[in-house]
Amino acid sequence: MNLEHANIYTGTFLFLSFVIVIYYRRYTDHVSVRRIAAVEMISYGVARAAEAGKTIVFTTGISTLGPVFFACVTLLKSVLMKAKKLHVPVILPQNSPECVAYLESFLEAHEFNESACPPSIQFLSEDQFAFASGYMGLVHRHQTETAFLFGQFAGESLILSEAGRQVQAFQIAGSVSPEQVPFFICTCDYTLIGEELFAAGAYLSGDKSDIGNLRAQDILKLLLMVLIAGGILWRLCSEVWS
Amino acid sequence: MRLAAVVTFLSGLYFVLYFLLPESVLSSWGVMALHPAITQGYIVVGVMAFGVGIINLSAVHLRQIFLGKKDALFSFVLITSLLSTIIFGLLDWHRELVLARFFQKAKAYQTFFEAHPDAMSDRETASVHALATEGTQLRVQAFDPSVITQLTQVTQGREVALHLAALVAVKEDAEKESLQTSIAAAVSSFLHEGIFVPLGSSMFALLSFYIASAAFRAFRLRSFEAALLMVTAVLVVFGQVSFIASHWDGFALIRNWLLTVPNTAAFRGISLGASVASIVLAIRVWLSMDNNQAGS
Repeated sequence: MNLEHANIYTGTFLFLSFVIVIYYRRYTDHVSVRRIAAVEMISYGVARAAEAGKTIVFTTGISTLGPVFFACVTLLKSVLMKAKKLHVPVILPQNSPECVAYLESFLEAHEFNESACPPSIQFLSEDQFAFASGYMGLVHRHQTETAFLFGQFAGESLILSEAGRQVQAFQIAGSVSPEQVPFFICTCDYTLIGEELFAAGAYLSGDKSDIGNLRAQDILKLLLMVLIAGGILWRLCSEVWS
Repeated sequence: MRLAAVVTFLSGLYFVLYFLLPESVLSSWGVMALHPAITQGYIVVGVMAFGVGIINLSAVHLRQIFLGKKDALFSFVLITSLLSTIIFGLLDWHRELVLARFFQKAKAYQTFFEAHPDAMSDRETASVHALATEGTQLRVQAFDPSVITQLTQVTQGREVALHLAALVAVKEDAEKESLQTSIAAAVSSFLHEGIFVPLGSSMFALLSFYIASAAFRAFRLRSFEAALLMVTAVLVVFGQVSFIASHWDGFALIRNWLLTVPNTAAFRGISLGASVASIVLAIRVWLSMDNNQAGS
């Protein structure tokens, strides 16, 4: 493959993605979404915090404004809606100031600030380990009952999840970083792996637009799989014939 | 909201086209010349958000202090650290700025007097005197005091140029010395290198203990999967530790196979799925089609 033309291949794939996303913007047909245990337990986590009269912590780790963060926001919306109904305080420790600004407008736009127990955004630090120590302190001070760790994580993932474990919090984590997934599996009660983080929002809301999003992802993954298989066959055949 | 959607779309379109179109096309449109300024604008918007972070941090912790809550002491320490870092950082930055300006001015004068070796009117003498006074006030030992004194006595442009050349030659030494002797620089450096960095390293060091406890929990033989995980981990450890690997080469081969074949396959699968999902979500946000976002 000529990598000089990589931009043409990327552009073609992006254009295809563009067309597929628009085509499936609202998917009306019935689609059964695979059961994801971690997502089903989100309601349990919120209810558990309500019963114990303690706080929920929802962190997006070291995510900056981008697709991973937006996927987490979809999950956050579901958590906040459940917490609003049960009057559970939710703390949102943040690492990126841009995300703080975004979340402030998100809470305002969806009227979460008007609930009896409004969520509290707390900017801790931009530095990875200063953020981790701030998170540890926060979880210990509030004796958090439930912790949700969704987003982008690096070396601090184990520190964050161990902090929750020390206060015996119920923890659900999800990361797109394959290196951090094993740490979460070891320390959290439930874990979302990779793309499950993106599918979780659609699973929870059942919204036609979110299901359409999921459908578009599947079609594109299928396309990629066909391309990979085709590439392998092509390479094999060319080697055999040459 | 429509305006935000239009701005989002146009910004996204710009970066997509910048990435996809060949450089020759972008240059002919004049985009290559403008790109640094556009990227700077993006950085400036990001820096603006940093203020939101500081406001949020101050609001949360000042509330704790004024309401006299249980952990107000920690909040007090945090606010004090924040303020001292900002104040000493600004003072340090100001001193660096003054020194840089002084050398810039000295260099400009040197260039002028090199071009006009005989020029030395009253106005020029006064300017040279002002520069010498400024040099004295900066109190940097690297400046040779005799050069500064002689600057006030010279009568010819060429002499001024020679003295200024000697002064500009110590620029680097003076800047280094200024960093060492300035109280603001010392405090600013202590706050960062002496407190912040060691605390970060301590947090990182905690990982070694956490990894051990997490491994202990994961390797308990509760199920077939846990047993498989433990066996795999033991084989990788055996292949990694030179003392054990030296007894049998097979451990290193098994370790390499485990890391390069099953592990890489799983990693690529996860990364591919997440990347496709990221592209789809990015397009939806780009086209303002996502119902869950701010302002939707």
